[in-house]
Amino acid sequence: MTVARSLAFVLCLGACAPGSWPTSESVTTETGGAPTAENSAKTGSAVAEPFAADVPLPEHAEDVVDYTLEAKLDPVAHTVHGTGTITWRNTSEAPQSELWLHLYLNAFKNEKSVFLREPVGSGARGSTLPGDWGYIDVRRLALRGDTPEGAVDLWPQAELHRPDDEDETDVRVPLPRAVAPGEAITLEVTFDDKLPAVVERTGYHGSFHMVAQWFPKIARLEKDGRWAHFPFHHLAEFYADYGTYDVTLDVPEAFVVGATGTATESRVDGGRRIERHVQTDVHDFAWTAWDKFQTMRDTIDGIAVTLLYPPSLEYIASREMASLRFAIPYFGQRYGRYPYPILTVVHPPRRAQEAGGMEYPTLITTGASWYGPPGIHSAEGVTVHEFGHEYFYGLIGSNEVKWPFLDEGLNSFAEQDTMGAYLGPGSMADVFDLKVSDAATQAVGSNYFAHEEPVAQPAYAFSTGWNYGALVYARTAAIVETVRRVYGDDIVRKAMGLYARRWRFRHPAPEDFLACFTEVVGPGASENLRTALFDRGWIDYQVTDLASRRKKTATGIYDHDGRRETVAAAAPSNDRFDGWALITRRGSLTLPVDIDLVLEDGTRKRVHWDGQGDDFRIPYDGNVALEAAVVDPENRVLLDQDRTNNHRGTQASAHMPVRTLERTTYWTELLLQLVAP
Amino acid sequence: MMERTTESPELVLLANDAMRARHRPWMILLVWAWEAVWAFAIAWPVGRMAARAYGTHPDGDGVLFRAGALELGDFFAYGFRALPALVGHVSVLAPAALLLGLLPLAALMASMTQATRDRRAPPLRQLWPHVLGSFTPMAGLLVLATIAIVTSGAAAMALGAAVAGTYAEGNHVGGEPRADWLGLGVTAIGLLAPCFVGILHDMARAAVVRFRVKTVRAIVLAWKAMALHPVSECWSYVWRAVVSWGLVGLGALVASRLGGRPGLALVALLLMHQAIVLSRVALRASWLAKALRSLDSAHSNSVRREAPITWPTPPDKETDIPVHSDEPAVPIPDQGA
Repeated sequence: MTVARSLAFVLCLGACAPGSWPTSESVTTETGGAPTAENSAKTGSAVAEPFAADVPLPEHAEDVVDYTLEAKLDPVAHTVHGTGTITWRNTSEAPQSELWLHLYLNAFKNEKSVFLREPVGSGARGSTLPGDWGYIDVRRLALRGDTPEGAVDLWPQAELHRPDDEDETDVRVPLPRAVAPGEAITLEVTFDDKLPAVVERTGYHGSFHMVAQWFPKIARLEKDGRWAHFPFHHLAEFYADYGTYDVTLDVPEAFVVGATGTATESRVDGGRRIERHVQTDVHDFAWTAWDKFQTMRDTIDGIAVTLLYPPSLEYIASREMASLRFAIPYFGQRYGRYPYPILTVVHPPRRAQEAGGMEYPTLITTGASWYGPPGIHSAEGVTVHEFGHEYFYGLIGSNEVKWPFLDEGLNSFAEQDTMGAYLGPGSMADVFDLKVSDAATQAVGSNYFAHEEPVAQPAYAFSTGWNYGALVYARTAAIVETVRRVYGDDIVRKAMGLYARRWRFRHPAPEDFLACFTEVVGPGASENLRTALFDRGWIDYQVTDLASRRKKTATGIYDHDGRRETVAAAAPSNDRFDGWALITRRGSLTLPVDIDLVLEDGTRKRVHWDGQGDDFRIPYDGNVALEAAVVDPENRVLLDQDRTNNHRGTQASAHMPVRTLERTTYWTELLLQLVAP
Repeated sequence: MMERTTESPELVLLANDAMRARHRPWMILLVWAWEAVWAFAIAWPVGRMAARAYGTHPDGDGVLFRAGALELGDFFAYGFRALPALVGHVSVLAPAALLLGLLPLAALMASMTQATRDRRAPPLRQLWPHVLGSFTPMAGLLVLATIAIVTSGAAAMALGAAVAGTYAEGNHVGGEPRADWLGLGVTAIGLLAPCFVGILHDMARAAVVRFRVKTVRAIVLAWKAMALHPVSECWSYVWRAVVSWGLVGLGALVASRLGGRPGLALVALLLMHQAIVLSRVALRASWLAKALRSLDSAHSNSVRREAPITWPTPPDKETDIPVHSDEPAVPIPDQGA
């Protein structure tokens, strides 16, 4: 025993809570306890699926805002002329004397926009200036009235930006009179878009046009009468009310159109293609038009899926379609059926790849190189991720600006879960028998960032794009995946399913998400989730000490039955061994964990620790020597900060890393032959 | 007759046909061992890191080969902290291996060109002065070839990318795949230049060893030799390279089947990998022997083939080829060959 180990042992003796010393029973079996969901899940007992029977899916969202628009694309000037009406209903409890409009295309108007001036660090998506500026000019915004004068133009009074800020993405429009709760108003709108060169999510490249955030959009009004309005932040996405979009698109005849909603009308008139798309129960509308699009169609689970892709990319498009054949029913089973009759998938051309990997209602954009080898699953991963957003963004309309982990994070979990079910342990890459899973990548990638910032915070509060990506996407996924592995797949599936069904067509906040876990999994799991999400929760299990020795008779002087007996040292037993393993837990999370005691003959003895207390000492007594201890042998706790300290063996059991040395030496030999003489 | 007898007290030059790699198996083994030792030294810290991370795990570093790659990911994350030290280690050892590797290479080539008077492979101690004398011009060749290969390779790739980009931008028939194939084709054609430089480099090395000339003169001799039979020389190089990398591909397939299994599977993998490396060394030696023969043939009219090899002797006044000041020259009076 080294000095350090001895010191650790002594310190631990003083620090161990009495309850953390296991009884002999608890060494050999998992700890018992009340048959709560947490315990039953741990033992793998089946949990009845609640889904459709317990939580009926709402058929429709509350209809708050309806857009009826006509849009005409000029593919040479890259402009869109729009006109139409917006009908908005005050569904809050307070009268409203102003409206907030989002003109997010103005994010690309100049370098003083919030989007372009926010320092997100290099490497973040959209961190370069657009090659061509983009903006939206509202020509007219008139309130239809019942007065003889007709509509009242509100635009002259609109506050395009704040006095000390030139960002023009968040506009306040005073109303001539307050709109009472429950009252609806209709606005007539005319606007002109100049699309930017594709910079992020939107824009053009050549004749390819991805038209998103392209119309004056009313911000969401919360129930308490407060507007949830935001400038277009660099790292943030969107938040809006549900409603019906009825949009008529006018593009050159040769162009193929993909858009949110079902095409209810399609005709060619005077060299122009006119398509009318209508969709209820959505909170945004995006469209694309390109004269080079190829089309692939399929019907999956009753949903008409259209995949638009560049010429000669059939191979990668077929892989994307195949991933949807798995994902659509899988998501339906997990989170409730997909309610819309259509799904459009857009694979942008490579030069417009900034438009790829984005979600809009019933329309997603994906992307991957055409030559991606079959073992590299980026095409499948992006497609599944973006489809997942149809749930975690589309159907569950959380505030993406304020709580991005609720859409990106939970969707990353759903993505890795789906990809794992679809492609197994090589869900991210499966090359030359190297199988890399999506879940492992997210866990390893995010552990490094665990202490940087809280996961649950507004998108614009993250100090860098790296932190945002690692914490919002990967860390959230690793947190929920850890809960799934620790408390059980069935029960976490049930909790996630409950959340997705209960909050369909609504706008949940983090507490609503946590409440589902409290209700289904239990308060322990929920508290761990809260700590991990809000308080930079972390955990690190460690086998701090391991002792193994031949059993000896206890020596010394003993008074037995009035007689004093001196027991002298005797030779250690040859067939009895004792020892212990000391497991410590650092960090603010308290997660139950398994520990394997590995004996000299290779057999393993599993012990369960509820994770309470700072440490856990496991005594050993048996006829085979204790050789090693392994914490979390099945890698359930993905959040473990350092898995390299999750095991400890006796010195005699130390292995030479022969596999590693063999391979690295071989690869180095090849490399030397390549570059050396 | 495999070898020519001479009046040399120690070594004689071999006849053209006698310069064969298969006659020098021990030298091939020596080069393989040299490479293996350097590779092991470079790889050792990675092994230590694996030992530190998983040495006492019941499954040892076998955990790094588990499906899903969680532990492998951790290992890389863990190793990331040690990256500066690792880079420092590699950046010292790799260039040293690169440069000092010229010594066994020169020894291999020298041994293929010469023999003892009793027709045996020359012992290293007798080759040593020749090897040392070859080092400086070969190092010069290495620097020049590296510059030429990197420059021409980068130019080829840039040209290919530009062609692909231009084609894709025009939205021509075939789309991105055709653009990329076009770019790849241009790059592949462009990469013939660095390949040619590599072949010329080896020929020049052969000239250094065979004729003990300096860097520039070696290039001239190599160029002239290649100019005589360019297709034949390139093909000799190419088929061996194809076989050589084919072996690597085959090894990768077998390794993927064996995975991280311990015991006999690991021993089999080790033997297979080292057999591949050894085969590649042998193929390379075979190519270098061919280069030596080509050089010899190209300049046969001007070479006194039975020139004795003795070290040290004064420079031969008859030669017009620059020679190492401290080494004898093999006389090559006529440079028109």
